This record gives sequence, structure tokens and C-alpha cells, in this order.
Amino acid sequence: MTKSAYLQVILLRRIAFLVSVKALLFYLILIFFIVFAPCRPGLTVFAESKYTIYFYNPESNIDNYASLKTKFDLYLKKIGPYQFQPFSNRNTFENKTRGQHNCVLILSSWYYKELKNLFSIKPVLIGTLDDNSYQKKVLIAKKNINCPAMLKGCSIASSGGKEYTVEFLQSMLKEKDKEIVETLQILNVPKDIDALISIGFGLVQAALTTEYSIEMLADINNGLYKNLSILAMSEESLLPVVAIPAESGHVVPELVETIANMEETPDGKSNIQMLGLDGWKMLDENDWELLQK
Amino acid sequence: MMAVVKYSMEKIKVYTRKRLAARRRLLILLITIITTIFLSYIPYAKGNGGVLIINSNESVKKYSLIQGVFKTNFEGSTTEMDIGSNWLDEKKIEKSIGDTNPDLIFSIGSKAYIMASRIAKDTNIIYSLGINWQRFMITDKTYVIASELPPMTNMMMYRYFFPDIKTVGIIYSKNHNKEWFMKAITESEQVGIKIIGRAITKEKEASTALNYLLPKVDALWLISDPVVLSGMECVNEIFARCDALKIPVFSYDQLFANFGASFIISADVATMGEQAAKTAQNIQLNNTAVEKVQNPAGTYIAINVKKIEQYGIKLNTKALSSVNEFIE
Repeated sequence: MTKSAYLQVILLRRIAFLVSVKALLFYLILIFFIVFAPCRPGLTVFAESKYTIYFYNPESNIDNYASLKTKFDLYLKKIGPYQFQPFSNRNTFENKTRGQHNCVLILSSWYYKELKNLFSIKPVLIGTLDDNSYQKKVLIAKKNINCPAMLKGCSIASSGGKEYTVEFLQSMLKEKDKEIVETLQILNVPKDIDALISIGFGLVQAALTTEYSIEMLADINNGLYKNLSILAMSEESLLPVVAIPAESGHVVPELVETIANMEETPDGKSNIQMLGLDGWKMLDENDWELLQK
Repeated sequence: MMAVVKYSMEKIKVYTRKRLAARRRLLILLITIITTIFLSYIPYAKGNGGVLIINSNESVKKYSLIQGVFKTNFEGSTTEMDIGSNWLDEKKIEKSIGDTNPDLIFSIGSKAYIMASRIAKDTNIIYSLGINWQRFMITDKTYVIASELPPMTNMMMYRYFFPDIKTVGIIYSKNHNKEWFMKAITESEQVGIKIIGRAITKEKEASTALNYLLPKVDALWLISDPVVLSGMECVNEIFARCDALKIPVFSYDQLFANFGASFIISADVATMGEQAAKTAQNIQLNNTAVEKVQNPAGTYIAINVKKIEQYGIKLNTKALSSVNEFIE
């Protein structure tokens, strides 16, 4: 009896030992799969799985980033593990994108020219509007101001960032007029149309805007349009550019294709319209030349 | 023996002198430290000037936004005061203004302006984010950044976004908005929109006004009118009847998004902050060309694209890049 009890105890201990070994093995296997399974190609459930389209456009001051992100993310998540990240601050944008390989950048062409000197990137697509990929910037004021020199110390409205506005004005004005740029008071407004309305109300004396906006003004308020005169016009520049890191990851071509195909669906098209575009095109020789200048 | 005593006395004298000098130095050091600490707790001593920002309530999002933008864009010293919880403690605020002795006050919201204009009568005041600024006493020391967009801005945006909308209806009360309405009529000619209005004196008359307007208009413009907006019943009726006839309601405040407004234009608060900072800068530089009342220079646009499509209204898709917010 005693022996049998002893045997029972030994047996139970062995079983208990075996149970604990089994449990340990089970947990080890579970941990192994949790930790290493996402590393297998195609399985992206647990890892940082999203590939990002980064957007930064200092030529536009409109604060619609929340809407942009929501709309783009909604569209992109139907296609793949992609997401959209707009930026309003240059430094934050550069810190976030520096050294990244699995991403695509949508940038204003003016900023692309600056960034290519800092980052190793190459352009792959150009934005279009009405089948045109070029734009001209215009310095416009009320008719009583005849020349840029008369703007010395005046206020100017611009929908672009301050740094961009100053540099762009410097580049578009003639040598003798460049000195006025430092004397200007720049008022940042959200949209080109706000800049034009601000001249109408006398809030500013001039505006830096696009040729397209002025054509639009002629349609919606011809009286104000007739009261304005163009003081300076820039050379042609390109609309926003899609660029990729020079050494890009395997996902990047798929992401570029996704962007290029956006105009083919109503949701995709409406999203690129939020960027002030209606399509994309491949770069031709002229585009390359303009981007190298 | 005498020499020893004399020597000792001399030693004691030197020692005492040294101790006194050390004590004096310690005392001076203590006084300096105490004065420095005391002064550091006073933000600005009398006559230090700068701009005093008085905020009616910093916990209100747009009030804190405009304050932040102002501080970023103003090149000079600022002191801040939130009266959100100090409304009744006027003496404390008065003392604070007296101590700060600002060159200029930037008042955010009506509460701040009323207080600033009562306490600091001889100081220049920039008044912003007050609803209907004309209701308040405006002196030659007051500079206003208006919160209401002029009718012209609204109508230009209607034309820009909806090229086919030619006739817009407005219900208004003569007591409150007669002048505004007349201005809208005059300006509408310049943008090629026809305004049809119906004046009411009581909320109950809104229903009759709708009977008159809705068959004639492409859109209804809901303006800030205390009679039209005096009750929920009237607001609900306006939106329900417009929806039934697929007539979009254009409005001026995000609040109406939930009621079913298709298109909302309001002043962009960040731009107003920048305007205020520039105005402050110009006042400090004694620039005589500072406008006493400025319209807001930037717009904030919210649109309900689904509703616009549902109503079959043509939308200029190129204008979508000017939208700040999409109402879902």
C-alpha cells in the first residue's frame, strides 16, 4: 500500500514535470511565431507594415492636411499596405524622410530642386492640370502700382510659405527690383484666391499668385480682374513632382504605379484634385532640363 | 608684555574688521539674490511696454490658435493673460494691466475687449474674434480684425466652386441685417450672382419666406441673423425643406455641418492672427497707414461633396485644392 502510494506520487510528479515541460515548449513555439512570423515575406500583420507617400509643398499654405490624410489613406488601404503623410514643416519633413528607401515623395518642383542637393532622389512623375504640367507665377497689384519698385515697404499676400515667397520673388524680379523683396511685409494666406481678394479689399498692395488663378479671377469677378495689373511674371516651372530615393526598396515601383493610376478611378482622381492636379505624366526631356536648372 | 598686548589688540582689530567686511559682502550678496528672485517673478516692470495679450478663454480652440499665431509672427515682447476664470476679479486684472503697462493690447474675444477698453482707455487695442464687432464701443484707439467675411468673398467662392449657381436666396431681418443685405445686393452684380431676399420680423415668418424663395433660387445662403436663427425649429425647417427640394444650403459656421449645410465659408483664424501681428508691428512703428477695421484675409472652406453630388450640382473640381475640410 505504502509502495503503491509512493509510486503514485512519483508518477504524478513525472506527469507534472512533463506537463510543465510541454507548457514551456508550447510557449516557446508561440513566442517564436509571434516574433519571427512577420519577417516572412507576405506576412505583415505584426510588423511596421506600411509604406508611405510623403507630401510636402511649400508653394501652398492651405491647412487641409487632416482631410488629405484621411482621403488618401482610405484610398490607399484598398490597394496595399500604403499610407499618406503630409507635412507642413520643412525640417520635420526632412528629418522624417532622410535615409528612407521604401517611400515615395510628392514635392513641389521648386522644393524638389532644393532637396535633390541634400538627398539622393530622382523624379519619376510630374503632375498635370488640363494636360499641362507647367505653371507661371505672377506678381500682381492694383493698377495704380505700375512697377515692382513702387512696392517698397508694402504688404504682399502669398499662399506659399515665407521662405518660398522671398526666394521666388528674388528669382523672378529684375536685378534693379530685387532690393524691394527684403522690405516687403508678407501675409501668408491659405489660398491663391484669398491673396487676390485681399488686394481687392486693400488689405495688401500686391499678391504672388499663379497665372491660372488670375484666369479664374477673370471668370468669377471681372471687375476686380480689370482693376489689377501684372508687375512681373516668372519663367515656366513644373507642377508638383513625384520623386523616389535613388536606392529604393522593392515596394517603391508598385507605389509609384499606384500613384500614376490614381486618375483612373473617381476616388483617386478626387484625391489628386485636392493637390491642385488632375493627373500625372512621365518626365520628358524638357521636364528633366527644368528640374536640373 | 605691553608689546604683546598691543600686538594682540592689533590682531583682534584686523580680525574684527575682516569679519565685518565679510559680513557686509554676505549681506550685499543676499540682498542681490533676493532682489533678483523677486524681480524675476514680476513679468514686466512698470513702463516695460510690449504687447499684452488678453484672452477671453484660452481653452477655446480658436482663441488659443490665434494667440499662438500672433506670438509666432510678432517680433517683440508679449505678456499673456487668460481671463477665462477671472471674469469677476476685475481688480486683479486691472492691477495686472497697470503693472505690465503695455504699449498695446491684443484682445481675443469680446470679453477681453470689453475689459481692456474699460480698464486701459488710453492704450491701443487690437480687437479680434468678437462676434459682430459693431455692437461694441469702438474708439480711435481700437483696431479691429473682423471675424465676418464680407458678402463679396462669399459670393466669389460660390462662383468659384459652383459655376452653375446663379441665384441665391437670403432670409434676413430688417432690424439686424438690412444694411448688410443691401451691400450684398450691390456686390452681387460684380460677381454675376443674383441675390433674392425676404425680410422677416419674427421667426414664424421664415416658413412663408421659404415658400417665396425656394421656387426661385439655386441655393439658400443662411446668414448670421438673430431672428432667423432664434430657434431650432426654424433652422430645422430651413434645412429640411431645402433638402427635400435638393437646394444646397450655404452657411458661415461649422456648426451647420451637422444640420446638413453643403458649403461653409468662415474666416481662417490663423490668418487673422497673422494680420493682428502685422497690425501690432505697424502700430509700434507708428505707421499711419494701419487700417482701423480689416476684413479677414483668409478663408476656411468646408464642403459636403456627397450632398452636392446627390443634389446634382456642378462642382468645379479644380477648386477642390482650396477646400480645408470635407464634411462626411
